[in-house]
This record gives sequence, C-alpha cells and structure tokens, in this order.
Amino acid sequence: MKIQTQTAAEGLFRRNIILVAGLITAPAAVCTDTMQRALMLCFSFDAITVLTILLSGLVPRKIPYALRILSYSLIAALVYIPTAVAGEFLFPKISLGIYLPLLTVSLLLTSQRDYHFVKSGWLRFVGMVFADILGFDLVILLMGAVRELLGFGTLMGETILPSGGVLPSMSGVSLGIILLGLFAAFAQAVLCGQGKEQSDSDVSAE
Amino acid sequence: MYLLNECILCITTNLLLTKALGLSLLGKQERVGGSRWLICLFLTIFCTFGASAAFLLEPFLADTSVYLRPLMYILSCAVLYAVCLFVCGFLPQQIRKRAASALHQSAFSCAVMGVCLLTAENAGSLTQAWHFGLRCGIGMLLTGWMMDAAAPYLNCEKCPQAVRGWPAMLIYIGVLSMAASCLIRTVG
Repeated sequence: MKIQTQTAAEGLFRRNIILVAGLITAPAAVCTDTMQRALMLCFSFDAITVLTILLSGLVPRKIPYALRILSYSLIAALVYIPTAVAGEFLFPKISLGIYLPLLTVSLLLTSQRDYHFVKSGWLRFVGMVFADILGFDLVILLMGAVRELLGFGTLMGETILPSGGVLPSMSGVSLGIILLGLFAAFAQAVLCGQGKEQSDSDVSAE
Repeated sequence: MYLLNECILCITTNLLLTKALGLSLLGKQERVGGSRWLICLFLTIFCTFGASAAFLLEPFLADTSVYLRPLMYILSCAVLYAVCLFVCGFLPQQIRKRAASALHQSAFSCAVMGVCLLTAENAGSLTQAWHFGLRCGIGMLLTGWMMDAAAPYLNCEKCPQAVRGWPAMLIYIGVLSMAASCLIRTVG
C-alpha cells in the first residue's frame, strides 16, 4: 500500500482545514457575509494562530496532555488581547461579535496542533501551519465574495449588481452553512477525481 | 405543555442550528468516530457550569476590559476540567480512555465558550444562567442525535461521492438550521 506523504503545500487544498478537515466552521459560516468581515476574520485568525503556535512551542512536551491543551488555550486567550485591539484599529466599523473570542478555542490550536507536531517535526510543522492559514484565508475570502455578491449585490461595499442582491438570505447562518457544504463538495469532487487518476495511472503502470 | 415549550426552546435556541457553534466538534466526531454521546454529555456539563460561572464572573468583568473574558472563561472551565479528569480516573478501564478523549475535546470548545459569552444577554439570575446553559447542552444532545440518525444515509453508496459524508452533513445541518429559523419566526 502506497503511503502518501502530506507535504506542507497540501494544506492549501488537499488538507484544507475548513473544507476537508472541517475545523473552524462556525466563524466561516457566520462571519463571511461580507468581504470586509471576511478580511477581519482572516487577519484575526492569522494573528491568533501564528502567535499561539509559536508561543506554544515554549510549552514543554513532557507535561501531561491535559495540561498542554489547557496551556495552548490560555496562550491563545492572552494572544487574543492584542489581536482584538489591533483588529478594532484596522477595521473600526466591523465587528465579529462572539466569533472573535471563539478563535481562541479552535480545534486547530488544541488537539490538532499536538497531533501534527508529533507526526511532522518542528520545521515541517511550521510549513504546514502557514499552508493551513493560507488555505483558510482563500476559502474565507471566496465565501465572503460570493455571499456579499449574492446577498447584497456589492463587493467590498462597491455596487456590482445594480438590482441589489439576488439572494438576500445569503447573509444568514443557514445558507452560510449550506454554501460551506457546497464548497466542501467541490473540494471532495476534485480530490476524488485526482485520486481516481492516480489509481488509474498506477494500474496502467503495472 | 411545559415540556413541549422547553423542547421548542431547545431547538430554536440551539447553538449549532442558530449560531453554528459546535459544528466542527460534532462533525469531526462523525467523521473520525468515537462516542458522540460522551462528547454531548460533557458539552452539557460544561455548558451548564460555564453559563453559571460566566454569570457569577459578570460583576467583575463588567468593570474590567472585555478582552479578558476569554481568559477568565477558560480559567473557570479549567477548574471543572480538572475535576472531571479526576472523576474519569475512577471509571472502569473500558470507558476511561473514551471518556478522557471526549473530555479533552469538549472542555475548551466553541460551544462552551459561546455559552459563556452569550450568558450575559440571556440570563438575569443564576437560575436563569444555569437553565440557559442546560438548555444549550440539551440542544447539542438533540442535534447530535439528529446527526447520528442521518449519518448512515449521508455516507451510503447511493449518495454521490462528491457530497458523501462531511459535505452532505453540512448541507443537512444547513437545512435543519433553516427549519429552526422558520420555527423561531412562527413561534415569535
């Protein structure tokens, strides 16, 4: 059985943390109704994730797993403070509500962090984190663009569709979750197609 | 009649259906496997305790910076986390590992933090806070049951491969969320 090594670049698509791994779905479904909120979400997530993961490298691996999980959450809660202040400065009219503090308790920062670090080693792990962040940003910005265009007929506040949004309820939670499901289906279809091509080429090579 | 009202409230104020909280956790459990019921049980315990703790901390947090809220809520959940870990040590060997795994995942999750953050606007007394947390936890149990019921159909061979599994589950939860929001409008 061929063992596929997951490279850091696969975090962009094959191992996308939203569409494939299914993490951080609540902010992705709720806070992407406009591009501006999506941008603020990207900034906040990137800052909290990078700083937390870098600082959590100081946590000794010898301490029990439960204490490590708690340490990562506490570090994220401390990193949240300057991130929230910077977010308010950079995006003064935008608010993410309760979803900004929720970024401190994402599965990526708690159980998933330990899992990938143990499997990969430090340098590769840092590469994977940056690829995961880039994959997250791409999906969030795409969702923000689609939802704002369909929901309000605008993009970054600029009118694109003169008649307004064709689907006003696109800004709601339920359609956000459904749109996320459709994006995940597209990603899965592409991955299934790639997997099928790979197995066909393996068969023809034999 | 009271039970019916409470059931309707559990659905219409369901954290997962109205605010998408806990979707990652329950979705991960559906894909990876393990005991969803243990996770939902721990979520209920932590939501109830978290809401009560958030209400008790509110007088102190109201005067200090709002940026300290996640830190204080995580610290309060850490106390219950330690107690639950201690209790898990007395469980039979067969269930101890599964219970510990469920506890690690549910203790510091979006659902618990969401309940803590929402308590201030949903509870005027400690009893109301406790009630709010318990209702949110039971709502997560209900949603976990609905996901469990649908999972075999969404993962079967008849489902197209592109949507099979997690994408279909997301669309299913989205449709349930739409139904819940219509129920809110009808009841309201």
